[in-house]
Amino acid sequence: MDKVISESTTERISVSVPMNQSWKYASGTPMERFCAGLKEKRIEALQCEQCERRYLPPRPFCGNCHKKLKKWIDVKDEGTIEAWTVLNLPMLDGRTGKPRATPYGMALIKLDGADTTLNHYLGESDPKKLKIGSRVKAVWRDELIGAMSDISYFEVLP
Amino acid sequence: MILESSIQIPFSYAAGDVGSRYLIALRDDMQLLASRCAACERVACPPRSFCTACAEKTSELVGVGPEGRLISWTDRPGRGLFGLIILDGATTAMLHRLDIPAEMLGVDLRVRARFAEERSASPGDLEGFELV
Repeated sequence: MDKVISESTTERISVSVPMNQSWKYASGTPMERFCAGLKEKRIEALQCEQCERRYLPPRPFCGNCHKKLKKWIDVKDEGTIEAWTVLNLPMLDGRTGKPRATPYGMALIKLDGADTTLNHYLGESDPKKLKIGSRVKAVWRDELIGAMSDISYFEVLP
Repeated sequence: MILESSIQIPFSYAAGDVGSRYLIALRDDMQLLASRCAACERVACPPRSFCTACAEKTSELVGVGPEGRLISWTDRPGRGLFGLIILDGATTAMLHRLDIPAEMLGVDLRVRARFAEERSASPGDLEGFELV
């Protein structure tokens, strides 16, 4: 015990501990068929045979009637912005594990032929060029793998 | 169908006064510091701002090591060997990586701290322990 120190320090140290969190989950059968469709640039929704509500992304049961959904219908890769935002503080992208470059736009998009909205990225991040009701079209990735990320983002149509 | 996802969580924490002094001494002097309790004489390395035995506030840090003795070890498959080391002058054990062949390990083995060549006041400045 040669050295004894009793003064505090004014230099404050921050310890960086980056953590990797990975996980797996079962998609469920509706999402499995939906993803298989994406691989062929096909977007499919599930329709309730009782109330006729068309679900996209597809889900196993109707949220209104609690009926099991079985009827698949085709939906266009074009739709309308129902709500949008521009992010300057990025969320961690669960598909890549990293924050996305900011700013970027996100929207709830009602695709033609669906009654519910899909949460996805926009190609536009200028708030002046975004509005509810704007028409958008999917921009597909070159190499399709059968995942939601096969749609890179939605471009805003003029 | 099984889907996979992963995220990288950018986490950092404030080392605090005692933790900062410990890391600064590692970086600047390759010196290991321990907290000596004025009440019960416990000498903890790594140092704590309070004594974990009697809750007395830490008033001074003392130099310990760089040699010590191994009191326990384990093999973490794929991660290497880890041991509990009581540094000379300390009364509590520190958990760290061992760079010693597994067949040479034994209780009371003398070991010595190895420091990184490039240090940044981070816990990795103390790379591990090797044979004396």
